[in-house]
Order: sequence, then structure tokens, then C-alpha cells
Amino acid sequence: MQFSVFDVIGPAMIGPSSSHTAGAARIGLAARQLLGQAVVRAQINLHGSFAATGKGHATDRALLAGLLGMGADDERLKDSLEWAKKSQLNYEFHEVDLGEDAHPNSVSLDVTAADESRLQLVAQSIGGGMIKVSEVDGFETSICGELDTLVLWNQDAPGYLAKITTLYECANLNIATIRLSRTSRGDAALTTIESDGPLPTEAFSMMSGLPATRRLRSLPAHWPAL
Amino acid sequence: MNYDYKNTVELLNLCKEHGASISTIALKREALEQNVSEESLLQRMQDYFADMRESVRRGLQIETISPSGLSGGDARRLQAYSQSENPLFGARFARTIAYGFAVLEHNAQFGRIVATPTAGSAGIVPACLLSLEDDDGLSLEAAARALFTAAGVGVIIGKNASFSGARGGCQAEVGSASCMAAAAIVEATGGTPQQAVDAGAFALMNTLGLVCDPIGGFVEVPCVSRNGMFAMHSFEAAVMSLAGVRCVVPLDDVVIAMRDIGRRMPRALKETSEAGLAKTPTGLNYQSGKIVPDTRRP
Repeated sequence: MQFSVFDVIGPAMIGPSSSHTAGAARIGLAARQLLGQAVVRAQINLHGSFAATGKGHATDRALLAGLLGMGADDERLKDSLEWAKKSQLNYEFHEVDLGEDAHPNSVSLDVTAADESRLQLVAQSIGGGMIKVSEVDGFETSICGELDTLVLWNQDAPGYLAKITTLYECANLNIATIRLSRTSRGDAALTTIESDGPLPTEAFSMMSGLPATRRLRSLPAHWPAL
Repeated sequence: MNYDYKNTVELLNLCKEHGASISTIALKREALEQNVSEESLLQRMQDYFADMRESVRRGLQIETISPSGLSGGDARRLQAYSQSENPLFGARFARTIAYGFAVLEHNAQFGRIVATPTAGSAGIVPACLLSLEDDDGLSLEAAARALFTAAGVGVIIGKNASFSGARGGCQAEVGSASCMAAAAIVEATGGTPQQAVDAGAFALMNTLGLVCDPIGGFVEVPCVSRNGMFAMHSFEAAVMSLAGVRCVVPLDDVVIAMRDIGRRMPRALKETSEAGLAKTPTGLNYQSGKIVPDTRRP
């Protein structure tokens, strides 16, 4: 279903702006969850309206709050700069031009964990606190976080998708959307699958055991939410 | 059974087919899609209503000025006026405006609010529903249902246009909120689905072209006063529709107009603070840090 009534009313959030504060916090949280561990370094590049009026809307504090694992309604959000210091999260803010076609509330994030694993993400805050992740590690994608989402970093190999979808079938789980993007034939690829329910642990471990799977991350429905 | 709809024509058909209100259709649509009980959804909405009421309560207590220096204390001032001996248009008028102010003042001070549909427009629907609760005996359950009416109409705007000020200007935020509130008022006071949609059309039609040009980029000037004023705008739209006035332009067309105007609206007037109020002498003086507007008159 496109547009739940709770996309219209809600989220409960810390002000002042749903797109510039709540959406930004959710994008930060999305990056934190896709990285799968605490962020120690973050390069935060603000585009368009995020760069122009971000300060007044606490976009910076909200993004940091999300990167620290806080939800959009967490009252610690307003003090996230101090929380970042305490949690030893080093961050830098820059302005960036992502091009004419980029959504005005776009941000590109480059985050690193203590073990040097790294994640790059481009996301948009599309209004009312809703977000869309449009790029992960340079691969085009489209993740809204409404449904249970599986993100697979994989080798582009024949039959890979068939194996994955079979595991969904075995779990009796309906796939809502599926998207694969790759840099070139046989090279690295990113697959995102949205389903009408969570992926069982067994299916998850079988997928991570596939030779072509490099990394995978399972995210619950409404995951950047509260 | 499918309760999904993409525009008001389909929504009104569903209402007719099931002899149901907009709130009921919106509730059933959600229950079916999320595979959860209607009771749990109503409860979730009641929780949001409690959050809204709390944000109003907190906002009415604000005496301090916001970090930007641009707002704070006016909700309280309006409430005091509403309690004075002979407030213009009666106590309810000033009190409803005070509620709209309260949410936005609380929001400006990093308070917890419910985006309805956005934070910058979060005061309008709560102000209207709290006003109905005060003076028309709206129950908690009826308030939750009214929020389903509001959101049920909001879904149409979300699907066909946008709630984002950066995309469509203030009309997308305050216009949408006012449209949703007007429809909710009508259903909560016994109007038909058609009357609710007409009230929404009046409310949205008369916000078309509203730009987003806040001073210093803060969600305060004009946003705080606008939330107070457009709560009353929603009541005006509801009154017209309840009186039997039909909106010549149906809501679906008004939504198309809103989207079209939003697309043509210059970027400078869509949440970038590069024009309009933000670039007036007052706005520029504020931005350069020379003058914080004196809102603290004795």
C-alpha cells in the first residue's frame, strides 16, 4: 500500500522540521543500521535546502543523533553534538552539489566503523519525515523502509537471484519489490528486497552462506522509524 | 475486499458503496493492509492525539524565547486574551488560535510534536480537534476517528502531490494540514463524506500559492502565527461546507493545482530562505545578526 495514514499523521518527533529534523534523524539512523555497528567517523555532505537552511532546523544535530542510534523522537537529539563527543564520533559537515535533478533535501553520508568497515549512502528526506535511500556504496537503489527490507552486497553471478528468491519461497514470504544494480557484468552488485514480513533466521544464514554473498543486512519494517 | 483509493472520486465511491464515513474507510484500508485489528489502529491514533494534547499543553506554558529569538510566549498571551472579559469573537476563537501557536512554539524549542502532516504545520489539526473537544464534547475515540478522516484525505494529497515545503512551498504543508483539518471537523460534527471533501477543497483552494520563506530558515516566522490562523481557516471551510456551499473545483482538481503551482514556484520560495520574508530588511537584519526582532513588547 502506497501511503499509510501513519505517513500522513506521525511520526511523533522532536522539532522543528519533519523534513529537516525528523527525516534527517531517520537518514542518520538508516546509515547506522546499514553499517550494522557504531559509527566512529562520519563525513556528512549536505545538498540544496539541507545545506541552505539546515542549521536553523537542526539538520546537523538530527543527522548526528541518527548516526548515534537515536530515533526522531529522542529528546537527547538537541544535545547530539555533545553526545557525539562523548561517544567519540568524529564528524565533518560539508556542502555538496548533487546536481540539478537531486531532491532539495538530499544528503550524502560516508560513515566508518571502528573496524574500518565503511558505508556510503545518498538519501532524501521527501516530506513529513519520510525518507528514501537512493544510493548505497555507489549503487542506485530505492529503499523507503516501509516494509521489511533485505540489502545484499553480492557478486553478480548467474542464478544468484533465483537462489535468493527460492529461499523466500521456502519461507512462504511474499516479495513486494526487488531491485538489483551492478557496476558491470560479473562485478559487484547490490540487491534490495522488500517483503511482507521478516526473513526467518535460517533463510538469513543460508543467504549469508552463499559464495556470491559478500555482506547482507536485514532491516525490520519501519526501520528508520521509532 | 479492497479499500484502497487514489483520489476523492474513488474514496467517495467506497463511502457510498459501504455506507461508511471517510474515517471508517481509512481505518479499514489500514487494518486490511497492515493485517492488524481496527482497535489497535484506533489506539495508535488515540496515542497520537494524547501526544498532540501534550504538545499544546507544553506550548501554552512557554514563557522563554526560542533559541533563535523569533518565538515564544505568544500562545500563552493568546490564551490569556481568550480568558479576558470580552474577547473578540468569543473565547473559543482566541483559544483555538492559541492552540495552533502552542504546538509550533513547542516545536521551535526542540519539543516533541506529532508531524501532521509535517512539523511546520503540526499545530492546525490538533488546534481544531482540541477546540472541538473543549466546546463540542468530542470524545477521545471520536478524536481518533477524526484523525482517520484527516489522514484519509491526506493520503490523497500525499499520493498525488506532496507535503514537502521544499517541493511545494507552504501550501503543501499548511494547505494540506488545513484541508485535512477541515474534512475532520465536518465528519466529527456530523457532515457527510461529500461535505468533508468539499470543506477540504475550500481549505486547500484558499491556500494555493502560499510560499515557504521563513526568516533565518527557522520554522517560526511566519509559521507559528500561520498555524494559529489556519486552524480558524479550517473552521471557515467546514462552516461553508456544512452550510451546503459546494466547492466548484473538486478536491482532486485542487490537489492537481497545488502540485502544478508547487512545481512552478521558484526554488527561492521553497524552504531555502532566499526570497520573500527572509530577504526583507527585517529578515536580512536578522540573518546578519544585527537585529533580533523585538517580539518582547511589554
